[in-house]
Amino acid sequence: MTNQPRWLVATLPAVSIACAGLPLFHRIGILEMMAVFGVAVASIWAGVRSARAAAPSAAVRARQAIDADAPLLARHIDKLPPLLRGILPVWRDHVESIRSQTDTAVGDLVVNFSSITEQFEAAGFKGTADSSANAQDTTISLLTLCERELQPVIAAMSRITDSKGALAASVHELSVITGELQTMASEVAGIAAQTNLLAINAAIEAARVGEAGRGFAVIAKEIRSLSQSSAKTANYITGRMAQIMTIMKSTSEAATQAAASDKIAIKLSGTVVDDVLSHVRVLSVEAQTMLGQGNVIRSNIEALIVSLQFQDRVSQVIGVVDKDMARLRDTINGDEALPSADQWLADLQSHYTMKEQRRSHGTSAGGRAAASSAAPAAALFF
Amino acid sequence: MAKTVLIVDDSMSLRALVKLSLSRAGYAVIEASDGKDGLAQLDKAAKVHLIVSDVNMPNMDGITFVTHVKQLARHKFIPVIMLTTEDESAKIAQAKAAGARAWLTKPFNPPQLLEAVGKLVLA
Repeated sequence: MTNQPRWLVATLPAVSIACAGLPLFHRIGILEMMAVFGVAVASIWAGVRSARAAAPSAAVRARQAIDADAPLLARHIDKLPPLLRGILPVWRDHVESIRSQTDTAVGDLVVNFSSITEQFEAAGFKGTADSSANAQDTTISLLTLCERELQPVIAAMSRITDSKGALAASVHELSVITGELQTMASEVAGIAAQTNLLAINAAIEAARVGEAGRGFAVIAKEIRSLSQSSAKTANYITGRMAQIMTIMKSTSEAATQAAASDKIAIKLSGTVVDDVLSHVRVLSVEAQTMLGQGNVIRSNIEALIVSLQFQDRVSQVIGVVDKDMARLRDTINGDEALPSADQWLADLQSHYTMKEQRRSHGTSAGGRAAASSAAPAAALFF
Repeated sequence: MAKTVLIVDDSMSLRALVKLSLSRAGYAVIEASDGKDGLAQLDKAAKVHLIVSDVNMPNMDGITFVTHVKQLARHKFIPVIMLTTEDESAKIAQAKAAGARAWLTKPFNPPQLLEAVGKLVLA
């Protein structure tokens, strides 16, 4: 019986800390509960950290409490076991309720958060650890492709238009030469007419001479025949030249018109290409902005994933306290001799899994230097 | 085809966080709430490429779970990462002896988890 106050006093502080806020959770919602719970846990950690240097360990505190409260405990010691039998199951139910509700709430929070991040990524805000991101690469590739492929097309079209202009100039030059040939054909026709006239005069003179001019008359007749034939050919050439001139004129006009139309089309195409390149450049800038924002979101998600794991750590602490309350209940109900406070605390300590628990217990060798133990650590490979 | 990862953890929120990290990186994820459930999920799954398991769980703890997995002919080559709040060297040694390939302490950082998963899935 003499041991009972010692182990009870040693256990009650841990239980009371875990259960202090329990009545609140009956009256508030899950989110508020999480917030209150988070604040409570943060306050406890902060309090433990700030007080750690000066505060004695749990075991020492237990002994001090026993010494201070010994007369008071002696008066109430008989009432404590029935009281604890009644309230311990309720406390355990509340602790389990907190653990389960926070676990479910954080789990739901993560699922909803996951859905939000998926929607952000679907909208294009997909960050990446790699600076040569695919999205950025795609836009830059598109811009490069546009500049590399479209500009030469416009240049080639310009060259074709220039060639058409040269063709039109050649056709025009040919037209001028054809005009000159037509003039020459007209001159040939004139010469033929004069030759014909000359042949007629020669025939008249030959007839006047009589028998002696008979041979000359034959020659004059042949010359006349040739001049008539020359005149006929010259007229034929003039007619064909006129036809060629007409065709050349229409060809030259068509070529000139086509060159003008091509210039307009190329100018228009150039404007369209410039517009497209301008839009692609804007898209490229926007894509880079979205990539930057995506990286911020990604970084925030990673930080949130680390922060939300507090629930798992809290759950571990609560789980150990819950098991200890069950042990307290079983001890009260059992027939075996009650352990000493040191024995109880040693058993409690054997269930710790984290540095924070050992630190809170006051026996951690790490002391204050181990305060960063809740930060992510590198993986250990076997 | 996406590689499949089995997450074994009694904390629903932790499973959700691991799932969020892995699914964003393109992995398919199966969940189990303890070692016993993990064995059942392995039995049902067509192919599991990697297991991420907690250590302290009800019904069957993580080290017992790994020991069982390594005794199954169909699954004994699946690499296992222990993801736990435990930091005791004795537990780490037990996990190594049981056949785990890596030990990662909670809270985990998503890039670190992905790096470990990527290394062991490709190995």
